[in-house]
Amino acid sequence: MTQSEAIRSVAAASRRTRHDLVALRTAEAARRAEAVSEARARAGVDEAALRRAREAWVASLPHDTAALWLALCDVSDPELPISLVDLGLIYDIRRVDTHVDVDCTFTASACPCMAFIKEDIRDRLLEEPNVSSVQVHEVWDPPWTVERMTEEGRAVLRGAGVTV
Amino acid sequence: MSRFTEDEIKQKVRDGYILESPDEMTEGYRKSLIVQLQVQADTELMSAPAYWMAAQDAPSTNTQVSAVAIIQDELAHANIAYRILEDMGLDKEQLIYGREPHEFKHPYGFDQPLESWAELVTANGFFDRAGITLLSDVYRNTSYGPLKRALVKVDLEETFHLRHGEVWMKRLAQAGGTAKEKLQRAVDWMFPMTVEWFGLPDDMKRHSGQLEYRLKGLTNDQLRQVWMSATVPLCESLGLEVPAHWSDEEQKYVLDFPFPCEYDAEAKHWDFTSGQISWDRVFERWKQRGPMNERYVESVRRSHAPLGRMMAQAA
Repeated sequence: MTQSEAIRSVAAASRRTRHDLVALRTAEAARRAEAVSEARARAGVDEAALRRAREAWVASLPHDTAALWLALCDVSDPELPISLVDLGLIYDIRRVDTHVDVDCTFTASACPCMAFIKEDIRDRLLEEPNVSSVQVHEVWDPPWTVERMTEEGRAVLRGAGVTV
Repeated sequence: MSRFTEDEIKQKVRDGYILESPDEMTEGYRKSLIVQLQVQADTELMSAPAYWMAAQDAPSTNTQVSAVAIIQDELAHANIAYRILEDMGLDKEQLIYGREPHEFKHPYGFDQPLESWAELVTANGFFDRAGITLLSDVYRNTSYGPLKRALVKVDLEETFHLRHGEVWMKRLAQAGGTAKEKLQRAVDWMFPMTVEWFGLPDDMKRHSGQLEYRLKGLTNDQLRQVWMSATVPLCESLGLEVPAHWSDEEQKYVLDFPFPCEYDAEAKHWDFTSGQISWDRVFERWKQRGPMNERYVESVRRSHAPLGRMMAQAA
């Protein structure tokens, strides 16, 4: 799609749907992923091994919350094209009927994006069927370390020029 | 001394060649890249005091952390651009501490006082969006390898600044009342300011070294359209008025005000009623710099010399 086609399609969509922040965010995420996937290729990431690791992880998910874990795989860090799950920020997801409790932590207690991340978790889980309320709990113990990242998370960071 | 003539290098970068070292540059290429990097470095640097002025208006500790994190990012981005300039033989010390305030090359928008949280978040939404529009175009198209690699991280970090701006604009708009009025007032002076940021219209621009040497990919008018394609729908969706709209007839965004026009920096007011002015008048205004120019420049360097002297005495 050329730049002018892209502008036209966004303009058309905005008149149709009262364009909102979600569309903008999707475009931003695509742009970030493009930059990082080029860099991943440069860093020599073994994409097949990553896929296998992810399939094993999906198979190991608890039955009642598997869909919720997968939903949070769609929620990206506000800066990096890496999901909150791959970053290792989600500690636990519990479900009682249609209410969901999420325990999450942050990479630092002065993380500038805490409010955005909590909003994103809530917004995404409320899109799931049979979820009517979500409570996000901040957990600081055990503290987050890079050890909590998945291999996928490390690959993204290496692609972004951060050594892990 | 470059192995290439000016014509050869223009042809080579058109064919996708990436330069990896200043040794390969022709004089023309080097000059164009230095101007581009100076604008980039100075813009990042001057955004810090501008944002700090407004960050003091943060509504809570956590929001102040977010604002200061943005400032830290901007200073780091400035460092990246100055470092690449050093690779090309310029002196960072001289660039930051040896120039007069009016010699800095940042846009006029960062010579303005940002006086409230509403103005800070609108600056994040508009100015950072302009920055990312320009820099992501450079990332995609630049023929200078070291700059392309450095911009990956810059681009990712800018995303958080945008998000900060857009989320907070949404919160203030939804709050309504005085919060929304203040936001609208910020939009009123910052929207035309950012439209002007992209510079001369294409039909007035003589020739662009930045395009010929593949230091960027899109023209000023194309970049202005990209910026509006994100900003106009954003404001419309928040119920904010902006003096621009999508035209089905022309298949592009069109401005609803005479462009360019006079600006009263004291009142933060664009004069839409007196008609269009010449770009020469705009360049004159830019050259004279805006009201905060000296104060912002001094605020990033005021302790440099005095503290340096104290340390030297102690040694």
